[in-house]
Amino acid sequence: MDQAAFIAYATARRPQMYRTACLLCGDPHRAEDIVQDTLARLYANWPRVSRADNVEGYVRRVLVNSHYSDRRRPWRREATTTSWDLPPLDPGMATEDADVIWAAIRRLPPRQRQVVVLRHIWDCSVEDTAADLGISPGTVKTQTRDALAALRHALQSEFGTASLQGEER
Amino acid sequence: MSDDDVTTLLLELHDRIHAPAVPAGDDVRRGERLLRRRRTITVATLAAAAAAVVLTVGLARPAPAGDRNDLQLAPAPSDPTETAPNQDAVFEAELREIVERVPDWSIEDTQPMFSNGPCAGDWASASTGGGGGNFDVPINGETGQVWHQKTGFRSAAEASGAVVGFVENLSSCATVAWQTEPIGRTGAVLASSADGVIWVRQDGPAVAVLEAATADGPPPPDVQVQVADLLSSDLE
Repeated sequence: MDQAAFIAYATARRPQMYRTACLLCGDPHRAEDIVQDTLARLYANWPRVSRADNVEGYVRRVLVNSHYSDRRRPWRREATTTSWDLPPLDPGMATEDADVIWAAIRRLPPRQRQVVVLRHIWDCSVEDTAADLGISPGTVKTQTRDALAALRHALQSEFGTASLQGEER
Repeated sequence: MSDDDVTTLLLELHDRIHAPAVPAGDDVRRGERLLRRRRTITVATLAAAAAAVVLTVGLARPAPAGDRNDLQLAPAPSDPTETAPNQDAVFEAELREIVERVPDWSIEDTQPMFSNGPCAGDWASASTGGGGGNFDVPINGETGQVWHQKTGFRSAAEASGAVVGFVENLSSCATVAWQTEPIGRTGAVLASSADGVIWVRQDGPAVAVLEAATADGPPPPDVQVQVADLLSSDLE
C-alpha cells in the first residue's frame, strides 16, 4: 500500500471533489460526507485502482453516483432535497448571482446534474460519461442538451448574453 | 445566451465554492477503518463457506430441517460513524468497474429472474423485508443487466436457513442444472448454470443476491471474489 501516493492524491484532489459534490447535492455537509465516503473507498481499493492507472475514473464514478438513485429500493431512497444549505463561496462572485445559479442547478433533475458535471466540470467525453453513469451515449447527449436548455432558460433573464463581468477563466 | 455562457457560469460558481481544509490523515484513518471492517466481516463469515461445501457435498442425503439452525453466522459488525451516501448508486458504480473488462465473459441484456423463479422456491418466505432492482452493467462495450436484491430476516440463523434453502432448491432444480460452490474464503456462494450465475452472500440477518444471465458460465475467480466482497461491503 503506497500510502504516500494516496495522501498526495487526496491532498491535491480533495477540494475539486468537494466542489463537485456541492454542485451535485447543493449541501456542504452532505458534500463532505460524499467526499469522505469516496476517499475511504478509494483508500480501501487503492492497490487495485492505482495499479489499473485509473484513479480519476474510479473517483469520478463513486463521487458522481454517490448521491443518486431513482429506481432502487425505495424504502432506502433519500429524501429529495427541498432546501439547500448552500456552501460558502470564496470572494469574486456576488451573492445574488450565485443564488440565481444555485436556483437553476437545483431545478435540474439529478441525472441532468450528473451529466452536466461530468461533461462540463470534469470535461469527460460522451463515452466516458455514459460508462460512468451506466447509460447510453445517446442518453448522455439528450440529458446534456435538456440540462443546458433548462439552465439557459433559467439564467437568461439574469445574465442575458454575457457572462459575469470582469471574470476570466 | 449560449451553452458556453451557461457552462462558464457553472464553472465560475464551482471554482468559488470554498473547500474546507481537511487533513489527508483523516481520510487515511477512515480508509483504514473501512478496511478493518471488511476484514472482520470476511473472518466472521468463513463459516458460511464451510456450510456451503457441506451442503453441496451432502445434497444426495438431505439433512433434517432442524439442522439448518446450526448454520449460524456472527452478526456483522457495524460502524455507525461511517457515512455511506446513496449506497445503491455506489454499489452499481463499483460493480461496473469490476466487470467492465472481464475477458471472455458477457452478461445478457435481459432481466434475470433466477431468485424469483421456480427453481429458487420460496426461500425468502421468513423474511421481514427487502427488495431489489435491476440495473445496466456495461461489459466489454456491451450492455448487460443484473438483478441485485437484499433481504432481511429476524436473525442470522433465519438468514442462514434461507440461504441453505435457496442453494438446496437451486441444486435440486429439475429443469436447469445449477452448480453451487463457495467463493474462495469470502463466505459467499456462487451458483451457476447454463442460464446464468448467482452470488449469494449472507452477513448477519441480511442476505444479498446478485444475479446475471450469461451463457459463459462463472466469471474468473478473482472477479467472483471481488463481487462477493462488494456484496459484503454493501450489506454493512
